[in-house]
Amino acid sequence: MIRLLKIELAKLWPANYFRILLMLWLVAFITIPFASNSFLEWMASNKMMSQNPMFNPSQWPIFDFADLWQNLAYIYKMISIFMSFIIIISVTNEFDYKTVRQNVIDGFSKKEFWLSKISLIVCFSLLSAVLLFILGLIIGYSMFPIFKIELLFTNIEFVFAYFFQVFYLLMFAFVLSILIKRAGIVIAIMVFWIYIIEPMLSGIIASSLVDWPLVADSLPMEAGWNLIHLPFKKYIMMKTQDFISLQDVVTAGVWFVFFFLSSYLLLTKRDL
Amino acid sequence: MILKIENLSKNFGKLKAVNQINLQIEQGSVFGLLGPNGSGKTTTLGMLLGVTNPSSGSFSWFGQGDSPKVRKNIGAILEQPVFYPYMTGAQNLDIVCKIKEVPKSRVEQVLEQVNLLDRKDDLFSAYSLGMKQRLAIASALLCDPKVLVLDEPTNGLDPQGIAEIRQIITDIADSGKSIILASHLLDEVQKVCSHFCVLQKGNLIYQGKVEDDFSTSTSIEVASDNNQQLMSVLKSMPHVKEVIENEKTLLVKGDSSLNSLQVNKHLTAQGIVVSHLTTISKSLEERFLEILAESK
Repeated sequence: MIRLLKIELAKLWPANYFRILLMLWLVAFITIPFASNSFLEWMASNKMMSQNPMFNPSQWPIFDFADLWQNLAYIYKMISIFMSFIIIISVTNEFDYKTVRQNVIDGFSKKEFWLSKISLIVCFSLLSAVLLFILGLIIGYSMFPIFKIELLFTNIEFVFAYFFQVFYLLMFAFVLSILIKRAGIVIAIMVFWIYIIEPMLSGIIASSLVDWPLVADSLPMEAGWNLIHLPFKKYIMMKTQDFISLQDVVTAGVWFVFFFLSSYLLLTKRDL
Repeated sequence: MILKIENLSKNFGKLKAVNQINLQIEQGSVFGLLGPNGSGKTTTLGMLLGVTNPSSGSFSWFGQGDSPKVRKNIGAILEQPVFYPYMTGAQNLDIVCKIKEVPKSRVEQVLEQVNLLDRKDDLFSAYSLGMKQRLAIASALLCDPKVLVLDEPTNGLDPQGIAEIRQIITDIADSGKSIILASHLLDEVQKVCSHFCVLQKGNLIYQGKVEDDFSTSTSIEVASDNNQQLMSVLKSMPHVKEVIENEKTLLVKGDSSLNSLQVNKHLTAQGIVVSHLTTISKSLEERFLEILAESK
């Protein structure tokens, strides 16, 4: 597995798109928490908003421990799509250049080729989760320097949920890439699916099948998205799911297994 | 034996791209896989190299069956040279080294062998077609393969490029490696191969040694100042099967024991002096067209 990952990284490193996307992602990862902090301060300084005593964003403990892990994971899951672009381009390039074929001729089994991409996906997911953890510690400490160690690890499960969420999204991108083989079309379909098709479907299902809210939550992207629920509503006294529910994990898990198996079967059973 | 194929078939829907092929290739031979475009050459090689799943039948490399591990000892190029265009030639070969688990030090050696060492740090996308083809051969040589599989290696090259690639292939063959060469260029197969087979519409219609096929019959061109007399004398000569009259010369076709010396002696004995006498070596092209015609 380490050998396969080394091969993948050797393929990626010289590619411009990889370095640019990785850089963009890193910059976004590091700056977004600070930017959102300034944004909240700006909202608080806004006269109209600060007139409402219920609504004082600068007082929200967004980056304080215990709350921090869910909040950061939620913010970061919005930029994991950058990471999925790297996977999409890396996989579709192999079909475009026909290098997947040459890799097999040179001595990869189709399974090894699949594993090499999986190793890359795991590597990116781990990188995301580790960065979340490190930045969480730095931000949390700088905002709230006196903390108790048990508070630090409260809600740490959101780091794992974030790992799973990135892994899940990248697997979805991987399956689409193997299926469609053209980077532009895959990216267009993915964006279209995430922002238009699924919200529409889930709206239609929710309004027509009122007794079955689960169906809307079980659509593939919704299932991955729901691993980490929107936490900020609690600051304006609304009901919020501030834990990871087993039901969400199982729903996402079913799709995840489907992505895993279908990517494997698509790659190994087809002629290259 | 380096390769044994048994009843190998591939269907694409109703189309039988490769139909029940049986073939054996011996160690040290340079084997030509001939056939018109679309006859199933690349599909056959694709199955032998693990990228196309056979519909039925089996094959075995080096008597060890078929596995990625076996493929690591084969150097192969299918159709055009395939590399990552955004990497340099040397970086591309590094990737192949990692896949084949070959030491990195081989890269410089093979680049030297195909005369690309001075361009190793240029991007693959900046290479000319001839250089790409040479890089592909270098890549195939990385694992010091027991057998080299080349599919149309001179396709699209200029005459100089073709000569370079042929020289490289001949040198490799002389070093004792087995080569499987797919081509629709007959003259290429005739120049480099020791054995050949012919594929047509997915069927194996012929296989044999290149030299045998040129020794089963002889053609000799003769002319004198009286071709009419010459004609009647030649027709009565032993071993002659047929005499064909061309514009200024006569083409004598006979079995393999006929040669120009006999013809000359025979004619001199009959008092005929010839003005022209040449042995025509039959080209593979002729033979190939015959084989295709016979199969119809």
